Amino acid sequence: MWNYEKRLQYPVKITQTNPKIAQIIITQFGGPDGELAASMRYLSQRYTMPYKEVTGILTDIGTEELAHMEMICAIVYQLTKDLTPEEIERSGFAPYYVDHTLALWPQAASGTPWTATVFQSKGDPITDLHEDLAAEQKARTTYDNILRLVKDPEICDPIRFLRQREIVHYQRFGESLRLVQDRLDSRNFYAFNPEFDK
Amino acid sequence: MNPNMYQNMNRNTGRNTGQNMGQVPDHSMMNRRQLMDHINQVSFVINEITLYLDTHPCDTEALEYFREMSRHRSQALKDYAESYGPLTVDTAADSCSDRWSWINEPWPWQEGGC
Repeated sequence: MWNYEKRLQYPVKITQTNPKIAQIIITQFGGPDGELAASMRYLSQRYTMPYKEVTGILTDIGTEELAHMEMICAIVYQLTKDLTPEEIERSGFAPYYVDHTLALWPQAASGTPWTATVFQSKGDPITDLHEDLAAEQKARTTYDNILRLVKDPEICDPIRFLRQREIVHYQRFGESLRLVQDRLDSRNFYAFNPEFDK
Repeated sequence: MNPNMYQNMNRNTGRNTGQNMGQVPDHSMMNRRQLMDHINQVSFVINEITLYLDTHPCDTEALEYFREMSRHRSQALKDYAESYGPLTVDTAADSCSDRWSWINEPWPWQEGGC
């Protein structure tokens, strides 16, 4: 089970709205390399993971990704708070607004709805950990792309924090992969799938 | 908000410097903002060491540091709940309000939130 903690993992205090940038940053909520997909990926993969260290990492990183999703939503919420119809029209926010008003909804920057098809839960620890390592790098690239477009330091600060977490998670997944490979046949890692073969 | 707060944290927790190890800071000297920053900092340390310990479960130095920070976090959450309202349901009973203050204080994405 999970308990809610009534604070953000890292503070988000944005005083200037910017619906243009909100439409870009929302991709880290519901886009292909976003925080919702990251969390669902790790929390789905963990059930059949046979090594306790890796089950722990998938659980704890999957949980942290939920906190990142909340930070992204806080950023988008603050960037679009109290917008007027004129501001909505001017900034190109109208196509989102007509379906969701100013509510949060998980979609990519392109408008594509969030989908579980952006991740895999394959049931093989080497396969899944390679997916997880790639996912952290894809999210890091997305944050780098966002940072090239954003100038407001109040937005950059929490985005830089989130980018840094991708790098730490990549490190921990790398250690997890090493722990898995240490327990397999070093002449042929693929001789046996510890999530299926007995 | 100090953008370098986590770098400062590394200095202030006194790891490897022998300063204040084992001593929970006096939260009565902190205002609401400062106590919230302190909670964010010790909680971040806990997040970070938790992930590290998952893949390094036999690192006794890291485990000791986790225990230390865990005590700091529990006390800070309890003190925050008493003065300003709970951040967790586990500390909701520590709040001095006669109302259900869990919903009265702002949510973290709102103005005045954490």
